[in-house]
Amino acid sequence: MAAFRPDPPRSITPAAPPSDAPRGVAAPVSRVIEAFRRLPGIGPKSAQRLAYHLVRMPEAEAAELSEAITGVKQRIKLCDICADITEEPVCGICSNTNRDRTVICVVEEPLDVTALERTRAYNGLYHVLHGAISPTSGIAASDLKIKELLQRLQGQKPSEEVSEVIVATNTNLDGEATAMYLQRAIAPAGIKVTRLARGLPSGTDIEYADDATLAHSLESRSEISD
Amino acid sequence: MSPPRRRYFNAEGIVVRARDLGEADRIVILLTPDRGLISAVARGARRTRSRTGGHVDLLRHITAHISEGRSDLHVISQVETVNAYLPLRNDLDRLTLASHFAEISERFSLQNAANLHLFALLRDSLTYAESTPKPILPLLRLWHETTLLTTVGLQPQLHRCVRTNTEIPPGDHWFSPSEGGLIKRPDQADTNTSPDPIAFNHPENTPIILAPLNTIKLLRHITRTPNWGRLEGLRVDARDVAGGSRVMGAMLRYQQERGVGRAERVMGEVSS
Repeated sequence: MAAFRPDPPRSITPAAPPSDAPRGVAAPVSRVIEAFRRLPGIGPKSAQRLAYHLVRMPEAEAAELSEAITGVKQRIKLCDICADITEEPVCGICSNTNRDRTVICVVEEPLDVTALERTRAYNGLYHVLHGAISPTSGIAASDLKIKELLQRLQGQKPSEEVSEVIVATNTNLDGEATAMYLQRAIAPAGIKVTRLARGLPSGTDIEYADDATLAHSLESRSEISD
Repeated sequence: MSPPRRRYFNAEGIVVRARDLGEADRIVILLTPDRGLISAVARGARRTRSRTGGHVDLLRHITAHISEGRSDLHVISQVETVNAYLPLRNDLDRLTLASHFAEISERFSLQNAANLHLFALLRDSLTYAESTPKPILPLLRLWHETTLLTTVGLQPQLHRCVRTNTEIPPGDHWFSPSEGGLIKRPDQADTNTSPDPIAFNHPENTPIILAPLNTIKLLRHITRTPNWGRLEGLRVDARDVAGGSRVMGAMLRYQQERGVGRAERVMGEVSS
């Protein structure tokens, strides 16, 4: 079973009061402030506000939050098939027999699965890469779940033969690099590789669209039907 | 007392690095001709309806109206694309090569230090990478790396021995990345084996590299040819280009004080 990649161990017990914590703050509170500071999008002020909110919180609620945080790290793992985050060895989507098993949508992150599922427009399976090839950040194909995807495509049952792989990576440079790599790796197997359409988002002003978006919009233009 | 007025400036630059910030923002590092590297936040750039998002992707030549930050981090208020280098985005080999150009240009640039030549070299190299035939891309890479080192004042010494200051006669010799040039091969040395470590290795223990005659000739020709257009049509043996790349790659790595670059690592997997 694929284990969820743990974060490198980091102590959150500071030897001295952390610089972000205000002076005179009790050590347990400054420890919580320091822990919150490590979360994405949380600055020192937000970390302090959250920490003091915790101090005022009823003990039962605080215990529930604490249990939820430890639970998420202990219970979740990666799906053996698609590498999405799940509690079971195989996630709900992969084990659902009503899903179309001939189409796989490749996404960068588990959150992308949630976004695509919200549309209710897709009934196939997924494969989560856990990142994108990034020449500027030094993230190569071997750092992602690409090998697992290729193995999955090779080892498929004849009755569930995949006919199409939809590459739904982001439309930035890293996403494009990943899409091109996947196309290069999968196409020789005779499987159709498609890319999500790129163009103008709903409600946008054309004058603010960048050249690449406009060029893709022109390429993917469609006839107006009655 | 009225609050201090925000100061704005206009900048032209190429996005050489970008990273996500918070919910939907993006920090971009621009290589500009008149300010060197500048960092700026594009607020909401990752939202689908953002007016800036499409313009501040990597490897884009842009002009931006920027609000000066209190620290070195500014805020982009308006942005337009000058060149999106679209052909690079449709070809993985060109894309990774262009990323390598951007990475080494950033490594040799400083914040708030104008370097028009470095900016122009990156801008031109990205343009050349769009249309240069694929078999010639390794030569373009070698030209870019050699010209970049020359631009930042680190042109390799290819005519005189860096140890003895004597002229390099025609033949195979050695190249020392740490000393920045050729080492004349003693007549008795065999070029197929490493030279005597005591006599040849630099105190910093940077390995020296074999530089065959044709590689030396090619590198000399490139340093004399700042114009890619005059080099593009040159018929060069792929082995000589590979030899030149080994020499320049080692010098770049030594000067950057690090191992294989980020884009180089991806390039290795893409081309294998």
